[in-house]
Amino acid sequence: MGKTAAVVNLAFLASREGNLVLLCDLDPQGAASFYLRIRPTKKYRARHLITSKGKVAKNIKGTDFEHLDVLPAVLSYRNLDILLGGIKHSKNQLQEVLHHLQNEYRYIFLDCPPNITLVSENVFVAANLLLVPVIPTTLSMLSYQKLSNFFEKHDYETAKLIGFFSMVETRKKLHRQIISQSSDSHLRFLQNQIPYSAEVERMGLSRRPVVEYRPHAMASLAYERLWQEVKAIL
Amino acid sequence: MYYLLNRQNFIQPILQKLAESYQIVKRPLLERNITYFDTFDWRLYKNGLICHQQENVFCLSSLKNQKVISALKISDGKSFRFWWDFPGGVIQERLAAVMDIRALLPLLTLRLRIKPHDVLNEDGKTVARIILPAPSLKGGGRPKPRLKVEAIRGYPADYRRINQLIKELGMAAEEQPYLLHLFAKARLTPGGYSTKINIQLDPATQAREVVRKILLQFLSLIKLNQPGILEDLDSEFLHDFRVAIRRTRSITGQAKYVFPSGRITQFRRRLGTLQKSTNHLRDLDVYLLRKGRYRSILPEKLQSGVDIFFKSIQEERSREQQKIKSLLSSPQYLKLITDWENYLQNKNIPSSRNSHIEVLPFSQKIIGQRLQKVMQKGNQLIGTKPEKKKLHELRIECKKLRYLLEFFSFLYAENKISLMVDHLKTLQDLLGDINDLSIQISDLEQKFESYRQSPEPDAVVLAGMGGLLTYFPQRQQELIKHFQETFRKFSSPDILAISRELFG
Repeated sequence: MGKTAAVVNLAFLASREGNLVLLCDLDPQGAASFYLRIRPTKKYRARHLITSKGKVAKNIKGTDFEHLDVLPAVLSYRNLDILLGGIKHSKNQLQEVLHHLQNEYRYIFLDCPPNITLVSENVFVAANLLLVPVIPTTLSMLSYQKLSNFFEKHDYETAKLIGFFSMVETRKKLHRQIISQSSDSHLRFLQNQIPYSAEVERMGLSRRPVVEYRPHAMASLAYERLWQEVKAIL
Repeated sequence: MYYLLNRQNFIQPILQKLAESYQIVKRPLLERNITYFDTFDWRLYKNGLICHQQENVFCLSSLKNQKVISALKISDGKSFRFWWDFPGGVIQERLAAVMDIRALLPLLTLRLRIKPHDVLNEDGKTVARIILPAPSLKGGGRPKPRLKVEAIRGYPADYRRINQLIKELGMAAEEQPYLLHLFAKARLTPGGYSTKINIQLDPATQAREVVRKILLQFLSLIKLNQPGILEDLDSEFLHDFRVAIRRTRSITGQAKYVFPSGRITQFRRRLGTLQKSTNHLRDLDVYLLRKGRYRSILPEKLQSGVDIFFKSIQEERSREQQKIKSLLSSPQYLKLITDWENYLQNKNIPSSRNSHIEVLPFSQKIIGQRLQKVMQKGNQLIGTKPEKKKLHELRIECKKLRYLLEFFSFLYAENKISLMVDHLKTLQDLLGDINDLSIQISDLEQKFESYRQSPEPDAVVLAGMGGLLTYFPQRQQELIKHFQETFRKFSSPDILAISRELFG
């Protein structure tokens, strides 16, 4: 659904404005880290994120781009839920970790695993804004709806939650239909959308943000507009 | 880490060496201008600081390790001259502590054509950057290039390794701050400006030779400060200029018969006239510098009155500044300075009674006499309610004594002369404050009257001025009460013993 591509491009755009930016890759698959050619330090483990906050800063790595750093994901993040489950105030752990980094970075982007787990709930607590990429399909809309319901049921701030259409193919009737119906829904969406783009898919080969190496591509311009809209909300 | 290269082409062997272990990627050329700033008298440098502006970022750093203390993004067209022009924060705080009332002036502008190279590991990930600027100075001068190995967060091992490889080529990491090299190339002498007399001569040197050297130093201070007055950079240029003239007149008046008295009297008169014509501008500067203090004396309601009053002072100052600018560009002024310089440089001036006396006994004699006068005038005021006029006379004597102690301090034991100067300074500060208030009272009374008679006087301004006119005499009386005690400390047996030992 373009989640990692979006976070990498948005974080890059934020850093290009001269802001110090940190991208925390929380997805054990480590796609964001991969896109930016970052490998985690060998000794870094998931438990460090929860138990020894001081070690987190040591594992942050500079990307090839000025002002943009990454806290890379490690495979052991797959056990984060189990680790979190075993401790008190399990939903506030990430917020505490980020609290230590807030003075250093103007923006911190979190690439969250695509499901509702204890890790995601930590993100729900810690983030000021939750951007939900939504492919204009029935299933994707359903997932966003479920997430919204979860927020309401568990008393998370629904105002933080905002979706944006991603991988949009306007030639598809269904995409057009769902987007036009979305204005009647109670779900919130950003005005700008990210079109489906082969350029974005090629990020896996170039391992750079598309906005950096193809700044005039349709998708790049769309990310640029999306970032301006997000920034205005922040 | 930084390396000072002797020549630009030293980069090639470094890149070749690194290419054995890493992939080196050349990045597009960048051009940058960096302007460094300090006050005219090097207050930042003397306090181990430097500040510079690169594009729209202003940075305050430590001179020693070049670490950035704080940086500030500047909006377009905004420039900073005084510490109070900066927004509140670390930079303003640190600058306020060292700059006081001096302006920040550009020292030099470094133009850099930067050739960055990325150092990539086997993943194609940048692990460090090699940055080599080709530097040149605006206005001429080619400093040595300075290579920087820039660390990337999270790759300390590579950073160490790269530096190790460079060191294996026989290069040593930079030890001296690069800025010192730039100063040398720009022919700047950091910390070079001082109003203190710097003379080291044998006590047996002839009096005229010493006095001549001292006078030449004052002349140099007069000349150094003149451009800053013309450009109206800050009020200290005029202050230092005036102090140098005052000191010149003081020593030429006190070191009698070192030069033939006829010519010296003429020069003293001409310099006196010059000094007098700058009095008004200095008085206005002093007013403006005290604005904050004046405001704080008054209750909040009357403070806006002070603001309006100061606006008119500011306007008056602008007019006066123009007058002084014309004066210091006038042929008469330039002739005075040239005549004075020629006179001091002339080795064939006829001898006078004290020209060839050794400076030590000569200084002992004139300092001793001046000290005696201070003691006499001071002691007359003990046990009475001192008159302001008498206090003013004592202040003048103290000033003359202070100058003599400073001019000839190189002849005496430093700890003893400093002790005397410290006590004298405390006394002078008190007398100075009392006298300043007298001037402010009479000046403000005049301004109050003329403002009262103006077509539409503002009631708040009148009330504000009235408030100050009530406060000043009260404050002056409080200070006068401290006189006896302060003078007794200065004329204590300890100080008298030192003065007998030094000056006989």
